[in-house]
Amino acid sequence: MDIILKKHIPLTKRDIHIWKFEIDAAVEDLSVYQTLLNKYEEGRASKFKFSEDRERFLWGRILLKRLLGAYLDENTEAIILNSTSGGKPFLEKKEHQHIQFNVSHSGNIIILGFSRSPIGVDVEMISRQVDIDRVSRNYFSMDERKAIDRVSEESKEIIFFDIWTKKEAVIKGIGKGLGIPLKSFNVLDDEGHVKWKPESKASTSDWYVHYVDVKPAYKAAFATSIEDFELSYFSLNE
Amino acid sequence: MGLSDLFLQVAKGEFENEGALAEIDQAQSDSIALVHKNISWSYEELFSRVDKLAAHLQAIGVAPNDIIGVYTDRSTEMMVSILGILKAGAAFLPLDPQYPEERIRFMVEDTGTSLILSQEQYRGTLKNFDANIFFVDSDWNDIETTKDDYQLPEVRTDDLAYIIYTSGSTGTPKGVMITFGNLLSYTVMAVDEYKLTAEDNTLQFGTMNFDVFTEEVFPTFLAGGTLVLRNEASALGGNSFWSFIEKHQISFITLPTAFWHTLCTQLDYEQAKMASSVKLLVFGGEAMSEHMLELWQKYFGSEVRLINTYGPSETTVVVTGFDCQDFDGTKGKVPIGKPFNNVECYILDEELQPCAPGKRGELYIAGPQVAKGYLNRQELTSERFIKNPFNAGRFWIMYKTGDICTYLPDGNIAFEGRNDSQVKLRGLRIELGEIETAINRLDSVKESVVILREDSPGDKKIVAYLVASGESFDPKLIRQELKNVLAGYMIPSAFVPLEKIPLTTNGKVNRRILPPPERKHLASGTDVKLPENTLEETLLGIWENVVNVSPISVEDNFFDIGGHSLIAVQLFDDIRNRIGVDLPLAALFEAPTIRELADYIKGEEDELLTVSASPMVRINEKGTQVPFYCIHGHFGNVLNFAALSRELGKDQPFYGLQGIGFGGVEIPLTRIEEIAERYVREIKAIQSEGPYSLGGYCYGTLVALEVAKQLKRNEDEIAHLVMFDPQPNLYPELLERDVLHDFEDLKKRQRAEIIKNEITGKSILKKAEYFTFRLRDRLISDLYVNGIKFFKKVGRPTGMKLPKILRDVEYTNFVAMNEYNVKGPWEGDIDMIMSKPVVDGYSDQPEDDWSAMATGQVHVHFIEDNGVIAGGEMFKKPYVYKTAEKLKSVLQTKNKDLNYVTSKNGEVKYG
Repeated sequence: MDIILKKHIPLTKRDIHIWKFEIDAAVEDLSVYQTLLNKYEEGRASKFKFSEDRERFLWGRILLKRLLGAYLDENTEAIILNSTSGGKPFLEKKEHQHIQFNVSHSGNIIILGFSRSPIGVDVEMISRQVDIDRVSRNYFSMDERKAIDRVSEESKEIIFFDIWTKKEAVIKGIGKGLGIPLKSFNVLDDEGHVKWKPESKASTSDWYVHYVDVKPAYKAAFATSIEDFELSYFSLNE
Repeated sequence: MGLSDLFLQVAKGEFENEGALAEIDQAQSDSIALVHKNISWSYEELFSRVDKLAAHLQAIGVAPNDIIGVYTDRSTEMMVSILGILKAGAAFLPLDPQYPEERIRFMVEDTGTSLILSQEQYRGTLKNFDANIFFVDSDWNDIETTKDDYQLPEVRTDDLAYIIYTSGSTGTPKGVMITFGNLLSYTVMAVDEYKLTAEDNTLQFGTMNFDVFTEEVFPTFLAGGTLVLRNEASALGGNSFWSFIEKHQISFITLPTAFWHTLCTQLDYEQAKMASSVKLLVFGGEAMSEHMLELWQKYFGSEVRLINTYGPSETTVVVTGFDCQDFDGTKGKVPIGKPFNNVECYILDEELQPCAPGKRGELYIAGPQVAKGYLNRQELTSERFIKNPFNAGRFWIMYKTGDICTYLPDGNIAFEGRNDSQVKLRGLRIELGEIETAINRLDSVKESVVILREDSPGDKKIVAYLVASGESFDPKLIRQELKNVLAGYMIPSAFVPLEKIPLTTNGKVNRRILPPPERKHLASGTDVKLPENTLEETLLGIWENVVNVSPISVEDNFFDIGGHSLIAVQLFDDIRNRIGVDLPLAALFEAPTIRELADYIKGEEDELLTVSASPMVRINEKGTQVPFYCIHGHFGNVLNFAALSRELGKDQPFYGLQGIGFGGVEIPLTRIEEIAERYVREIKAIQSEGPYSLGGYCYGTLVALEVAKQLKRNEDEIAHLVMFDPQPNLYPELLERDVLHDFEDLKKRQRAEIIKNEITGKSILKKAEYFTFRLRDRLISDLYVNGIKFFKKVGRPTGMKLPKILRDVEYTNFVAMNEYNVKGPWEGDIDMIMSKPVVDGYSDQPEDDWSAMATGQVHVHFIEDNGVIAGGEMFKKPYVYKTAEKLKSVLQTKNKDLNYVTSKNGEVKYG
């Protein structure tokens, strides 16, 4: 995790930085960093019923604060995060808000995305517990459903999670949480171009969503509104 | 006599050991060496037998570094065999018959042992072994008759003394090669450290397969003390153990830590009294519990010297020790002490650099006790017995223990745990022993073992096995108590009750046979609140299934139990399928628990049925204009007026009057007159006197007309009566027959069209379904009428909601409409806002055709909507813009007229 210790990581207007962290491969103890968390964050952590959820949250928060510190050229202590009622964290200080970020975790993986424009990331462990037919019937667009129907049984899971993480990434990028109907857009464009039509406006907003290679048995994606973005992808375990 | 001649032989030329040996008094030949049951042998009696066996072994060709098995129970034969092998210069291999045959066979084959000393009782068991068996009891005559004299063997420090198998925590057991040099150094050290003398009576407790045995036997014999072989019962602990100690006046006990823990949990003052002969108790083999120490101190104070020792088999029994009899266990962890004489301990980091005090590292041991390596395991030997970079000259090999330790500032070493008991769970290092210690401190717990389980791949969890101190324990309480002393991530996820902790034959906790936790043992963080109604119960079932967690409390937050959006969509799909409510996903943020979600669903249902108990819905209360009261259509719902109100602007107050009985609170009224009376009361509650602006839609035009009539009878002024899409069939008494007829025709054509659209391209089944649905509608109407009549007659129990079907206002209106008689036109003006395509369908001159509705003017305003009868299209976008425009102009014009009218009458009611 040395790279985070670098004082400043520059982020240009076209930059998309995606960071990956494998919890099980962590060299350090989580406890080493726990001092970086404030009372609110500790309180939130203590509410988790299962330790693995708690630890995922804590790691996610710690890494987020460390990285934000590097992007904002500030000490970690100066990074103050607040959360919306929907649980989405945001930087409290106005002068910090030019850095946009998004975090996702699943299983053993944490993904963090940073940009100067709205960004969404999502990672999911491919799990057999999802009722693919049901979820895709109710929440996927027609094209997405067809894409799943077209492939063999064994590949359905992979396609499903590919679509799901992309849709989640877009939704998280738009930032309105689960209020957005998942059916209302399609993530299967070859160029990753997603046209999303907000209910209240006549115009569409353009999103670009791409898959991120994490490790076997996982799917991950990020979504950005920058068309000509430049992607950098880092691992936090090396 | 005794062991000293052999040890002196080994020490020959080694100044240090020779000197040490010289300081130890020789055993007296007539003092008691060995006690077993009713046998009591002096040194003379024991060692004359030992030497005879040794001579016999030498005679049959046994030489140094031969490995000879000992397969006997705890008996004089065991002691004679082991000592005899050593004195013949060979190495013994302990084969405790209590071990599984497979394990014994493995050890015999692994060492290539060709000779096993045993007892007659095991003849059957051993007959399949590929080795010579010598029965020390039944074949003793062969030895007695031997003429060979015993000669001290030419053993060197490097020759093997015994092979002890350790299983470690992984892989196959491996034989540790202990040399005579190791044994000599250890024994001399132990006599000195434990201050053993000829006065001591030592308990022989452990299995010979475990090297505590070495600690019991050799220092005692070297010091000239008495070794007492325990009986079977003393292994039970408690009184059985202490009465044996008392009987034999035992002064020195060395025990596996786990067994000492057991003793501590059973202690009472009676037992402490029985133990009055005990001067020294040594334990080791596992991390000790400070809680047990407290228990011990409660009964013994610091009277008995208590040593917490540490040492892997690979470094010959023990290498460090800490006197802990007066240690305050509440203040911290008992250290494992300082290295014993001649032992060097290093705590090193991964680069083999020494760790500063307080920093964790792995413990490495050097010195004369370090074993020769693992038998036939060259690779493993070179992995664990490595070059010592610190003391190349003297102790050039050091053993890598795999134990995590720290140096304390006072030079003591703290044992942090086996590096395999120190587990890593989700990136956190967790010391299981620390959890055990915390649990053992709890009053309700007698003993515990904590392990990390992975019963299904990837599903690692900390599981605690507990022996209750009373009848049982409450896992919830334990969890709660642990929260005060342990970090949250260290709290076990399951608590499994056990009657006792299973031990292996060598007294260690038998972790392998600990059962996997059952679902009921899995702990949840909070009290589980149970569902209180069927909706909560249904939701709980759905949650448990989809979130895949059990138990879930109805007050658990979805996001706190691992919920995320993918789980949410499945959850809501199940809710839709099983409860029939289509919730927005965002509802989970508003109502993240089962209890809140149940309330949310109830709220949704109620909102669909009624906005309030009152039929008056305040769509826009503010504004300076004359309020507009608009009566619902036949579905009873006024929410479709919302857009119209919005388009009229904030300055126009707008009230909707919805169906009575909409929320199931009131019994629906089935006569238009009654409904109108009720509405008049509601309107008066908002605006006590006229003029009033009234409107109605479709069926509501009929009610509005009745309301206007009643108000007028009450001498209230009506400023406007607006009818949205009045249907000719509502006014059969007033309209021309042709108009009514043409309208019915239009209606039939439209219905046919709708049915055709509904069922086109659908399967026969779907078609049948559609017609069944329509048929059902009619049956329900009949049922409804009778149901209402019934409730009107018998009244309704308080608090009971009417059956859902009776809450369906559509039917109320259906009934009311059929029973109403318009009885003459409205005495005033009416403004009609109507769908142009619909009107075109039945009338060529609408103003003429509808003129009979009023004695005054009937103004017809057209909206070019899509012409669906009773479709409410004019209230929807985009038509609502036009509708609002028309209504606005109507209201404004009328207001002017009103001023004129009122001034003409001389009564200024509104200005």
